[in-house]
Amino acid sequence: MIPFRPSIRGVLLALLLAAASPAVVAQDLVIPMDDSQTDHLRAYGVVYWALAEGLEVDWLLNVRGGSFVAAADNRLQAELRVRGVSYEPTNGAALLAEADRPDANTSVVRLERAPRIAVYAPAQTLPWDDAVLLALTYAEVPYEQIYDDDILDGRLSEFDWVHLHHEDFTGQYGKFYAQYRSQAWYQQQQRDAEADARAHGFAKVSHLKLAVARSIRDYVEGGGFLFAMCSGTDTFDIALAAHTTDIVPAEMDGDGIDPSYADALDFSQTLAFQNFALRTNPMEYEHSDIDAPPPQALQNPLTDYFTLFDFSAKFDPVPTMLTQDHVASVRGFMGQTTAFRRDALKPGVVVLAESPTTGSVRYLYGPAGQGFFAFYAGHDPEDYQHFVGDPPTDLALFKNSPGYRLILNNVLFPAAKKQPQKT
Amino acid sequence: MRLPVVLLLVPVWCLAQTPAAPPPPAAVGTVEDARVGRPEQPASFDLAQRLLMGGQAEQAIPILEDLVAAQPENLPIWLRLTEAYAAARRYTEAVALIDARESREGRSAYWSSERGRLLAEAGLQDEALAAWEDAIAAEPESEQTYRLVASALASARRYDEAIGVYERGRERLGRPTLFDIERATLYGLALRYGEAADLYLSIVSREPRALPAVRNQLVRMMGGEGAAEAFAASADRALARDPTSLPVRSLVGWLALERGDYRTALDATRALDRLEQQQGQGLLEFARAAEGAGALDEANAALDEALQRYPEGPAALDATLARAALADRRAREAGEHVGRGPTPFADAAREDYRAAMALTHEAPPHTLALAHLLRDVYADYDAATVLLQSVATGPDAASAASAGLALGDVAVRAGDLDAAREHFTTVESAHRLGPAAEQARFELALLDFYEGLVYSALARVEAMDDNTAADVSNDAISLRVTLQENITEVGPDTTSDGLRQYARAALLHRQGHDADALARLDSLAAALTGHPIQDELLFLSAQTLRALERPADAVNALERLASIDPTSFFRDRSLVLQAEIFEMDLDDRASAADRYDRLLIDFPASLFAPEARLRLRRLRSPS
Repeated sequence: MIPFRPSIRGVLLALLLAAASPAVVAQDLVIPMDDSQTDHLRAYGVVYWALAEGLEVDWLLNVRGGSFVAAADNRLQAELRVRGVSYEPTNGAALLAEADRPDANTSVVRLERAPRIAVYAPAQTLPWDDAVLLALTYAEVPYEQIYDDDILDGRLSEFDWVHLHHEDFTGQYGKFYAQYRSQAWYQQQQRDAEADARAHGFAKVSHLKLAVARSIRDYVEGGGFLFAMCSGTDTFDIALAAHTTDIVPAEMDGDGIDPSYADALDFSQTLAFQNFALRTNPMEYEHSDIDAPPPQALQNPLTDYFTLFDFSAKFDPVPTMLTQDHVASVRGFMGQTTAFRRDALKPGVVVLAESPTTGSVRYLYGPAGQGFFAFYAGHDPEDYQHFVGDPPTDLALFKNSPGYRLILNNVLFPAAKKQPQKT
Repeated sequence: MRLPVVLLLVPVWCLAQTPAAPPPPAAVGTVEDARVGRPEQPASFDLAQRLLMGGQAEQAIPILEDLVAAQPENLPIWLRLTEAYAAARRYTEAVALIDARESREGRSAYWSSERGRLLAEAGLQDEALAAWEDAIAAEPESEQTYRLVASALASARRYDEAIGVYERGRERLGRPTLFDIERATLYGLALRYGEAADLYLSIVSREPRALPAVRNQLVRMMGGEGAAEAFAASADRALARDPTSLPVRSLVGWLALERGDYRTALDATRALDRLEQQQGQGLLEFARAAEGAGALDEANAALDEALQRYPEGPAALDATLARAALADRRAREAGEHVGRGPTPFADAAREDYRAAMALTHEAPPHTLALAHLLRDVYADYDAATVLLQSVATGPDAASAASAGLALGDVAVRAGDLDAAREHFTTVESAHRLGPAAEQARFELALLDFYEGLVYSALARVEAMDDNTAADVSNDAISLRVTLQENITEVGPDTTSDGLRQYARAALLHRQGHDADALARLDSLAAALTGHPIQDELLFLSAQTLRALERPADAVNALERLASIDPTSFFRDRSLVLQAEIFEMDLDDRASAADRYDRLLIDFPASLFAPEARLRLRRLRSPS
């Protein structure tokens, strides 16, 4: 017999809750995303599952933390139960009408289909983890892993949403040279990348990565959605800006940097950043001055936090969707790129979250052509300083993580029915 | 001891610290001076260095050119100018600078090697290779020459060619093992894991003291693609070459452990233990590691070998205890019980525990373990009591408390409730605070309950801690609710006789008298129709029926519980028990899944819900 150690107190509590359980017949159900939700992260997974099953879900922006309303389908309820996501019976029509009231900063977005998700990551196992992969895996959101071959073969058009793993698009292998160049994984990574470049007819890895970055930018401008975290954000733009020059030190590509690289940076090519200066020292674990981490004295997980901006749910639904959360302030976290320098942002880029102490930007989004991009600084929202070789964060212990919620908002965003922009 | 080549793979200014033919220090200063900008250098040199570090090589160059013109013999300034030219990709000027120096000071391996490095950076690979050949030709009898050239090649990530240079060096110098460490490191960097491991194993074979350093190197490569397989093959080759080498055996065993191959690791450990005359200690350590990793057969084999070979050895006692604990664990995992078939693991554990007791009289933990085994698997309460009494009166307070609680439990099972009360009271009095005292208090409450002293039992559990993180507190809360719900002072059962009868049945169930317990429960259920204790009766009946291997009847009892009292606080646990019976005893996955789902519907906040979700997911998966 498998032992259970029950508590009568718990049982009594369960009885109380059972009285209010959603077993009663209801037309609709609401998945609350406020503090009452038992598992915020898996709620996104269930919504994704519902969309994949052909069900329609309404996202109630700024209502109970960005809650979801759907018809009370039996399969959906079973899925909610087994995944441990709390829900309540509701009168959906009334709830939607309430959210559409003109005098409230709330609105309704109809989610219609499960977005096709790609994660750009190498097949090689690297000794660090990616927050998006962790979030997708925990929330049970399916995705396809793609890499350079797929992108250069034109497969991006198959996807609605692309996430960039902790990638270095400048061809500097994450600037791990100083600390890890003698490690097998570093050597393997470099060798694989060089072989990859040669196979595609590029003389250097930086050229290959530039071609990949350009393809991704074209994909966004053509209507795709890009999400990146940590160094996947700034190195993407650095690579695009340096398209006519060589910014890779000899230690990485054997031929040193172009002495006049600074004058050759072309910021018209980038998505989010401009007017940045590069750090070309191969022994320095930093790519540029886009990154604006808090000063040493403020690098404290107890005091480092950032605040989410409020947007008009009716007139700015996109940033509103991306910032849905059950808290207004989110705990900060470090990464190779921890925060973005505000004066490095291009016009038109929207700041979604900032550090109130330093003014640096933690989360941003912007339109590019027909598509959008969102950049989220830092590496792991529930591990203040995630080092190479650290074990992955167990999200079962952080199922209500506000920081991880911001990632998963992005997953559902492309599921929204296209609406005419009101502003 | 030689410097590992990895130290030579730092940027080129480090190489310059050990040039083959350094100019006289008095005349030119040191490279370190150049790097940090000591006061004897002109102020403009500091400025040039800052510009260089800031990536402004073009601005630094005219300053450095002026300085070199003024002080042509100053090596630090000269080196900085070379570096600045390279940073500005003005390789022609950098090479010309070296040529000028060489023409003034004469040909040397160092200058040619530097020329090679600059030409390689300029993309002139053939010219670079020629320069490195010049370096070797300049001073072919110097060990340092080969290091310089190989390091330059390695800096350009031309690892295979660097290895070739070292091989030429050792042949030229007639020292077959020269540069072995350097070559092994380069093989690793070139991802040639098999050759790296071959070389490291041969190094260790010659120089056992290198074992820790070699392990460190191999650990770095372990995660490489195909490294584990290459290391295994290399280990086989090394063993075939040198089967008696202790360090090789040690490395082979370690490599096998690292890749989780416990069978091979055991072979290596066995040989090592014999060759090093460890008298079983190595086997014992291996067994602990293997058991921790779940390789129970290999762990047991290692302990068998240790005890067969060294029955009187220094590790004999620990090995005996380890083997006993291992068999004990397997007996419990297999559900062995004297009344339900053969008990091979328990028999082995019992024998080893007794053997260990013959070797020492100062080991309460294994005495306790044997007592628990005798109680749980063999129901031999007398023998268990004798052992527990010896520990309970011993000096180890924690062991004494455990023994006291176990003595009480044995007495309950044996039917001597007075003796049980005495044991639990002793523990409670001796400790007052802490988990042992709380457990003793709960047991005393249970004794009151079994004996029909329901008010006393209620008073005891009401006085206990409400720390629901502790199992004993949860059990106490459960008993408290049962007592509060069923102590009746009105109606037909004003004496709470139903509750007392239920308590007697619960005691019989604990004592393993399930048939008697069931008979009592059946008659009670018939007599107490409508009594609030019906749900307790049905739940205990289901547990008893399951123990009597009547799972279908157990399920029916739980179904009746649901029908007579849908709001019973036994409902969530009865659903779990039903699901378990369907899944494990009746092999009915669909019904099991249905019960777990019902639990999640009706009791979403139940303590059982997380486990139910896991089991439901498992049941839904095709496998």
